[in-house]
Amino acid sequence: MYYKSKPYKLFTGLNYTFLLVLSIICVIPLIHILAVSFSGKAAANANLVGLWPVQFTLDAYDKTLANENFLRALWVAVQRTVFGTALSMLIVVLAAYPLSKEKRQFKRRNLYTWFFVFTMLFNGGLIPFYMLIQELNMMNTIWVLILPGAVSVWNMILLLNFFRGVPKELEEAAFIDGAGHLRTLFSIYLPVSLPALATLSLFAMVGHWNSWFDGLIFMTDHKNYPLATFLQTIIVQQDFSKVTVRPEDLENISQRTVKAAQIFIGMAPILVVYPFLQRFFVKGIVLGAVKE
Amino acid sequence: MSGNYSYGHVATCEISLTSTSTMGEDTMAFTMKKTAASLLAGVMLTGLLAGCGQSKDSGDSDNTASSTEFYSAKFENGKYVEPVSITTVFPIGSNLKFKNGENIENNVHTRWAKDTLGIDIKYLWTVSDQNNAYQTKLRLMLTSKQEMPDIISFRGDQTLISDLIETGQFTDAGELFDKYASDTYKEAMAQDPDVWNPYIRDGKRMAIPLLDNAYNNDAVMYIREDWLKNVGMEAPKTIDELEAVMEAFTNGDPDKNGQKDTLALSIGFKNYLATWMSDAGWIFGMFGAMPNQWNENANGELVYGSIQPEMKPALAKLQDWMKKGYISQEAGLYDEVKASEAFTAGKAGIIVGPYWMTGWPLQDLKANVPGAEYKPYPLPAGPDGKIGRRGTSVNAGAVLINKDMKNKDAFFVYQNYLFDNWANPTDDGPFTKGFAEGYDYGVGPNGELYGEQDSDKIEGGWVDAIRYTLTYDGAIIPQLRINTLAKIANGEEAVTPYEKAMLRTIPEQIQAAKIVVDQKDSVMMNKFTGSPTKTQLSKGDMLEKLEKEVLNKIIYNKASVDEFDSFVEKYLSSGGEQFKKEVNEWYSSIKQ
Amino acid sequence: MQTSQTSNVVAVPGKQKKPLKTRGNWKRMLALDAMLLPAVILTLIFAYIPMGGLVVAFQDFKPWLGFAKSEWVGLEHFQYLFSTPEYVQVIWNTLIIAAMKIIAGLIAPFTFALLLNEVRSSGFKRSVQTMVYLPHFLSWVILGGILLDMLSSDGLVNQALGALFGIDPIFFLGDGNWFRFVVVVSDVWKEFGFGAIVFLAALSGINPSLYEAAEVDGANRWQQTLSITIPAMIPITIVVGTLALGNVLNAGFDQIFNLYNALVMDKGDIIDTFVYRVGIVDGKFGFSTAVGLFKSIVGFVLIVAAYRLAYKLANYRIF
Repeated sequence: MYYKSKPYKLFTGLNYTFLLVLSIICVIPLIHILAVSFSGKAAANANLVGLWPVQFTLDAYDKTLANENFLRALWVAVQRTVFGTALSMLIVVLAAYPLSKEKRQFKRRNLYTWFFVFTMLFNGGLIPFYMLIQELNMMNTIWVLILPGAVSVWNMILLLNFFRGVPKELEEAAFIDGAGHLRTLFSIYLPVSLPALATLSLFAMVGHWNSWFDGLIFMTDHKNYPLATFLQTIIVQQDFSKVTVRPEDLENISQRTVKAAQIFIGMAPILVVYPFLQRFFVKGIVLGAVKE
Repeated sequence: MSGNYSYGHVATCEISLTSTSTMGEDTMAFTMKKTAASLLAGVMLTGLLAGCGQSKDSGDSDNTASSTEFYSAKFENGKYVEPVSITTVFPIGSNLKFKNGENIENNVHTRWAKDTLGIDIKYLWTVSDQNNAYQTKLRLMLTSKQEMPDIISFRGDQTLISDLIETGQFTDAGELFDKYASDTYKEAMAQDPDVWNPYIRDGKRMAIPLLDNAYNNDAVMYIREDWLKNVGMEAPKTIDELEAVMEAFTNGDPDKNGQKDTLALSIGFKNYLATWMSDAGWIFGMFGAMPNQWNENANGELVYGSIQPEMKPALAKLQDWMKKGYISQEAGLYDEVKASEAFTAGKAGIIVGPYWMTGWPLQDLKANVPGAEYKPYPLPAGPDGKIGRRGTSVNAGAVLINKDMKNKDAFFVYQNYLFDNWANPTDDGPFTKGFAEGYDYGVGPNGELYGEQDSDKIEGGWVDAIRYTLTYDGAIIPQLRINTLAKIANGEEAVTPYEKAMLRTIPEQIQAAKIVVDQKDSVMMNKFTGSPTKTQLSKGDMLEKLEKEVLNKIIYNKASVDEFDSFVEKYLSSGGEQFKKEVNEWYSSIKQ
Repeated sequence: MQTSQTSNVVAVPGKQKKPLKTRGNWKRMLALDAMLLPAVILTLIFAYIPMGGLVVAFQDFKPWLGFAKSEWVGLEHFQYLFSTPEYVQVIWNTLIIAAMKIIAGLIAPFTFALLLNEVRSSGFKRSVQTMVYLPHFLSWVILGGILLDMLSSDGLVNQALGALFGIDPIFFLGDGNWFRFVVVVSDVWKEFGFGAIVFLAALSGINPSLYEAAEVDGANRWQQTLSITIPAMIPITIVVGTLALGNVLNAGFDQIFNLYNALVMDKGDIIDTFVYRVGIVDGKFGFSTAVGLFKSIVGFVLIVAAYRLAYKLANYRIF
């Protein structure tokens, strides 16, 4: 066995150390931000917080979580993430399958592919898009958060590449059994593509969960804001050179702690979901299905 | 009453009024009618409370008589008989709080407008005021076939207002203002004669300025009092004394911790040299210069501050200070807030900024450094005794009135009422204690008044209902706040409700405000407030970049001070000359 | 699974030309068309219809006049972008920073995935994986502040360098060359964990029996990595790399905007920060659209070139 060899053991030791250091470097800023979120305002504003809270308080979380709009925004975010991810995955899976075919199997595939790739680079900007959404009467509906981003070309291309890796023998066997494309896709392709599907779902989920601009622009009623948009609204970002300052407001301006808390509240669900998805990344778990 | 009141007159009048006046809601119609006359007389100081002494006479008869020809709808006893509507749009700032399940469309303010004034306020849309969303939505609104609101209030970016004016959708607001605004409103507007300038197009005033508190971001100098004691020095009055203090603050271990870990002065000029906090503009002011803005020279011409020869000695000073470690190596990387951290963390001894810094962020200092003390001081004088600080405009934005608005007078009925009753409330007016009971004030069982500090005693908590108003802050008389604070600082008795309210301000803030008023002769205002000129649009960014690069390099001693001259030459030849010409063309068009 | 994946890279010509046995071929193709229908419809509506808005790149666009009535200015916006030397410098800065980011942003997650693949303890593996992908979720506004502190003259990094190597403090964010370095390194740090996810997915698809077979043949781990693991990751790397080419003129607005200052303008100012500043003076829809269009065209040309090249040289279709 290779991992019993001496050089490999040495490598393993170095590798573990390196990865550990790397992880620490990645986590330290987060610990700092976490510490800030539990710190008193004065210390946070003067940048005196290191990796441990100073003047410990839960104010920042209170302020965010006690807001009556928080739960509503959370619910909107859950809806858009669940439905948005599901719809996007369905569309992407359906589209990636034909595009993964060779040209001799599906003549028009190149045409379609470029049709999609083109949109990755070119877009008309906000104004025509806004006018379109208005024409479609989608303002203030959940659809505006779900439909426009449903066709993720990036995900589509990744998936079609994963699909290409599926052994052709399986597919041909299915065809001979009289299965159509749809059945082949769902009974042959999908079961062996779980790591890819998990990855792409994660991308779609993260995208939905974090996007706030569409909520801000297309919801005329702030009750319809998804969580990411709502969290954006808690923090004052004033440029005092332009806007009036009322000394009474100043209490609310120093919101470094709230901002820090916001990051964690926003991240929490993703932190919870990720470990569940991770088991799909563990090597070989799906291969039982493929082994011939 | 259209005579030239001296300040003293106004003051007496004010006092008598607060004790005896019965001026109530119905004065408004009177004041309105008087406006045409008072304007003709060219009154600058019509008196803070124009109606004083005569307010009792303003009876209902006056009111009804005028209602038919003056107002666009039947108007009696200070309100529209049949409610008229105003449609608008609104940014929901994060400082806006609601209670009792209310929202911006339906709350104590909208009910008040309807019940008291007969005005029905309707919101076409609202948006959270983040990341310029309001601005973006306004621009998007222009592109689509959406219904345009009757009025748009906008605070901030001048260009958006210019764009809105350019649509041709909005009416000559100045004309309406002359006709309908009350004396108090007009007087407040007249406190700064330049306030209309940004909105004048072909001699017409196309938008009504939103007034802000005067001197709001004007600078005072804050010094660590305990550090001064530790190094055995007095607060500096001149640049030489200042440099001596800075030397001691940098190298004399002012915090007595045995380490050389202190800075003398905290400035941050990532954005601008002359800016709203952690400011460095006053350093230039000591030499008669003020960068980043257009100053008027002796010939009445506008010149760009950053390229004047007076800049040179000030830049040399900054270069020297950085070499000596008086200011941080990072000063050019830090913005206003980031730079203030050094002071609030107890690492810097001097910071310059507005009087309200005492509330934020300077209050943090005491929490972070036990025993720390700071005090506001006047800005020191330069070698020739010059003192100069960057001035703050009282113009915070504007209100635009749709030319298709049905009842254009309604906005003025609304705004007049707030100027007459809210901006400086009387003892028996409707807003003596606040906007609405149970919102921004509460009354206890024994008649005691609850304010923001007693939020828990008001059922559902304290919310600042005045923020729901169409103009964001109700009504502000620009100089009232700072003058009142200065008055209190001078030990004068607080008489009016406004003065009494100001009494609760923290002592350092009152002191700082007094200094701001005392040093008001040192203000250097940016005189160019028009929309961007042609050259500015095409070359503006390049010029600003050139300026920032060269000035920073000089301060960081990566270039010698003498390179300033070649910079000025290059600046002028790359479009600066033309820019100046255009600015002055604008200026002369405004001055007519 | 593995064999076919490698065959994508080094395509076996004979296999490809094998005629299809299926009858009613066009009918089956129609079924494939049908599967694409939802994506096509949505793309038409939400991507292609608004693309009409690109005309403002050639207009002095005024929102209230609309697309039809705004004044046409031809190529004026493009001329403006290229006319002054300052702007050419900005384009160069963008290209340099973006190119370094693309390259480093490909190598780092790739290497990381390989290293993580050698970890046998699944608990450690999962923990590392979770930790490194976290920075992706932080905004540059926050990270900018943290970097400003860490890289200051008496900050953590300079202190460490001083203690370890006795180096004088480096003015990381005030020196143009260091600035670019900081920008690239911090971007890689922020994104490599998240970027590695797709590589890890590719790794988890490798058939273990391949390694078993190699083991029997006496290949050591390094040889296995060279002959099995890396070839299996090549296709996905090429795809990710090609798509990244589309960003060759996007050097990362949020990051630069939060870190740059007057001292590093000559090396750190990029197209997007420039457009932002110009746009602030004026709601320049026309100009910013023109710049966006320019960036898109350059990105698209590069993607097409990469696609063609891969097809010509290796007979491999990237997508």
